[in-house]
Amino acid sequence: MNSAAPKLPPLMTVEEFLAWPGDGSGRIYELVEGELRAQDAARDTHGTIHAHLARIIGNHIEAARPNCRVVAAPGLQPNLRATWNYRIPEIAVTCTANRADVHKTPDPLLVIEVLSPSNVRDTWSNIPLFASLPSVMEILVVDSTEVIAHLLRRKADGSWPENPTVIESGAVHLTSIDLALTLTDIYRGTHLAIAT
Amino acid sequence: MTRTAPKLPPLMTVEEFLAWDGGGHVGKQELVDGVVRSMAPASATHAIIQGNLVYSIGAHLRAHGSRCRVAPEAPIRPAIGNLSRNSRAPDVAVTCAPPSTSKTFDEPVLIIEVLSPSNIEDTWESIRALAPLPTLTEIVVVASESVAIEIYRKDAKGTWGPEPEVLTEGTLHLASIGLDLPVAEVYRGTHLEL
Repeated sequence: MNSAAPKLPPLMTVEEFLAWPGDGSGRIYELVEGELRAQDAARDTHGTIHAHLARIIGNHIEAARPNCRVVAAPGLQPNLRATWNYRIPEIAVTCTANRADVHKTPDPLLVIEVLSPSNVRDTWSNIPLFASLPSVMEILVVDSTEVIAHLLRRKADGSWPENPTVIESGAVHLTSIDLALTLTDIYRGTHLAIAT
Repeated sequence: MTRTAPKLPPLMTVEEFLAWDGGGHVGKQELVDGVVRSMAPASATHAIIQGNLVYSIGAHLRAHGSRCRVAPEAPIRPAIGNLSRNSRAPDVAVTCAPPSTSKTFDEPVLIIEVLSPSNIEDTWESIRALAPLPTLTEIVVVASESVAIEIYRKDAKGTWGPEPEVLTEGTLHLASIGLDLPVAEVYRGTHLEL
């Protein structure tokens, strides 16, 4: 059932959003409370980090958890107000089977975001949405302007810790997929690699 | 868009924010990742609805000798993220935690937001930031330009239900505080009065 609040233009539902042809620029959009929000245009560092994450996690999953898969730019809907929201983090891992003709990625276990200076607030505002999905066990936020990552891991009682774990050296321990992801690996090949 | 980062004021902590005089802004202010987010001042209808809610809930709690307390726009820390730099201020909140010297309104069981078309995104960002709080069991969203109230509840597993109960008349059953509140009471004294 849709919200009883009046649907004023230009608000879109997720159905309308997924049918929308885009603005012709190829820019990726998210749907935030029925409004379009553009993601940043691609950046070289951000894209390099994304590629490392997808490759390393993908290789690990293939060996260690063959029924799971890595998804790039997955579409995720929150529980609350699902009709009006479609968010697209960098990467997710899911162990639910892929089906044809499905837009959104089901049951994400791990969600990863990459931060650039211009997307910091938008990205952090997505985090509670991801945390509200019962399947999500860990959320990783990787910075692309300095060597730092923030990890949120759901506790055994289902709640989230008060503050993220900050990692500035060594490895990020992704217990959801049993992988120790080193900062060296994440930032390899970028201008930040020297610092690791 | 220029590549030069704008020179922003330094980030605030919640303590600094709560000690700050608000810079003369009239209207709700919240702290989002160390940056003050200001909202336009509430319309008269919004303010009356807020008053009705505080009054009705407050009267109910007192009549039942409840130790729970209601407050408008009290600062609440969200559940996730950088807690030292974040606070939100839902229009109405109820807590049953004992009084303390804490500067923030802790362990809310119910939050209520009054919506206008212009504040939907910020208000929902606030709601989402608070939704993971373990003590919170009901979220109510009240439209201020039409008669419509949404109630979101957690299921047995503690997951928020995707679709709210929507009321345009009748009675809100607020299980979190044991109150049956007529929709008419929420909109009493406004042009939307039933």
